[in-house]
Amino acid sequence: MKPQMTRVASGIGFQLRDVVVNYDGHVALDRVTLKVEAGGQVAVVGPNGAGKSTLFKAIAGLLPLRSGRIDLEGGPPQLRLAYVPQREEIDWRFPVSAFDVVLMGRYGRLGWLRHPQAADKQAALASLERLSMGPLADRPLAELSGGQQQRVFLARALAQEPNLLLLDEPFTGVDVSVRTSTLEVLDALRAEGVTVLVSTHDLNLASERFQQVLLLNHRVIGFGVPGEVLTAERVAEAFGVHALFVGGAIVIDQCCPPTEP
Amino acid sequence: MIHWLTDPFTLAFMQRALVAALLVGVVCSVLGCYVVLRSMAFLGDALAHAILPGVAIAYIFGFSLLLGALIAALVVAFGIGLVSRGGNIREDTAIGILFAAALSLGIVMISTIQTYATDLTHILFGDVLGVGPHDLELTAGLAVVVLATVLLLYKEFLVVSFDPLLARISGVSPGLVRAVMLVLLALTIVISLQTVGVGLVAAMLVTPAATASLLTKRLPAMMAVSAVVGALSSLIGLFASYYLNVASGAAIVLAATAFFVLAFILAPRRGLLWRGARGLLASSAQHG
Repeated sequence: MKPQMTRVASGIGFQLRDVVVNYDGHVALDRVTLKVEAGGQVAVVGPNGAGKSTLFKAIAGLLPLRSGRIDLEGGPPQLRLAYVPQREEIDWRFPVSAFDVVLMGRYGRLGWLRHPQAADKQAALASLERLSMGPLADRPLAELSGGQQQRVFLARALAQEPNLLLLDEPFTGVDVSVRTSTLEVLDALRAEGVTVLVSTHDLNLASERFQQVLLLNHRVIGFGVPGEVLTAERVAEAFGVHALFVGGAIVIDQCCPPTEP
Repeated sequence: MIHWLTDPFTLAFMQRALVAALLVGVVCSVLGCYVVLRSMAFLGDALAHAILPGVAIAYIFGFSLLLGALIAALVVAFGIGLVSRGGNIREDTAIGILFAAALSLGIVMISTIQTYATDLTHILFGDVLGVGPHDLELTAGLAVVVLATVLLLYKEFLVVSFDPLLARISGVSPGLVRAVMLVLLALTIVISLQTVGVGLVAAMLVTPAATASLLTKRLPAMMAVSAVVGALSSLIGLFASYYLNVASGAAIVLAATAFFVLAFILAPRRGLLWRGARGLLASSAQHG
């Protein structure tokens, strides 16, 4: 049996209206409008450089909007956001243990100058155990395998007890067991009603495991249930020449970005 | 043997030198962990050189050298931030420009003074044997401020250094933390001025921390080992200076470098010997 879960509150919904974001002098997001219900799980699909990470950073409030607005659903917004970045954004040689990384997930609720309490340490350990990483809690991050490192970052997201979770390419360059445990976490979060956005290259995964798919290439090409969004026509529009149609299946001729620095 | 160790410190100026060198060794080494982890070595070196005009003005007008250095360091730290903020000039370019300009300005000012050569040597390479009682009080006070801030803001410094995105989501501003770090760096450079001097302070910021990074796996341990390496280097350097009659600042830096070389060769798992042995084992397994 898995140990007791960390308490995770139910999700928060949000709405983007005509959001434009510039990145490095280009228009990375062009008039993006979409509404995500509380508790929804959305796969964000699009080619490399389509603005998936930019979308996440804009929702997280990490990039300024050039125009448009992002509104949280309901009364006084109590956004508790967790963001799992792409592998390239992390310095894997930094001298921290798995436990240290997960404990950082608790910092958001502490505020300046306050140090983590026993309850925070318990929550961090419980999150690690939930991903079967309890025995490796004291292992330095640099000495973990790529899959174990991803579990650490998933555990950190759980320790944040988020109502909105953004996962940037969690299925790129990971082995089957990490893929399975990531999907297990997503199922558990769905049961708890946490809103989740996941960016991925994997169209099959998106259509099989998600209620909603956002097809993105700087602008919204389609948003809704997978059957309606992932049509040959729209996928070709999003992926251009990289989309191949073999029999009834769509194959994307674009392998994944490098996973090891 | 005991006399050999204690003799130097029967002299008041040597006692003060010892305390000052130990304080500087520890403060530089602890803050240096962040300098190493955040790749701020060039910035630290630049800041150190850039305080020269402040020191020169203080010297010419006869007020506290440390105060002049402190003001200059803060001005340059914020100048670098200002020039690179717009994004048209990269930060390392901004550092390069301001650093060279401030250093030149400092030398121009000092060259107007009669005893130019001696004064410049003391500023560039330190004069720990000349630390006065008043200097020591100021050094100790600033050392406490820097160490206390590093301990108090451990969580904030850690999260900003490791994952600035998480820091921002958690309500910790990376810009603010960086500004605090720059001020601490300026204070550290100022108290290092008399011990190792402008020219060598970067070595004390980087070398003990780099040594510790080869020997440890978590930040608190890295800071502790770095502090010990820094303090031992100061002690050894001071003895070398006393008995061999060599420049103290340079002797301290060389002692720290010796620790680094030892760690680089002998560190478990990460040292040259270890990796070489593993390579040999692997190739003999392949061929055998």
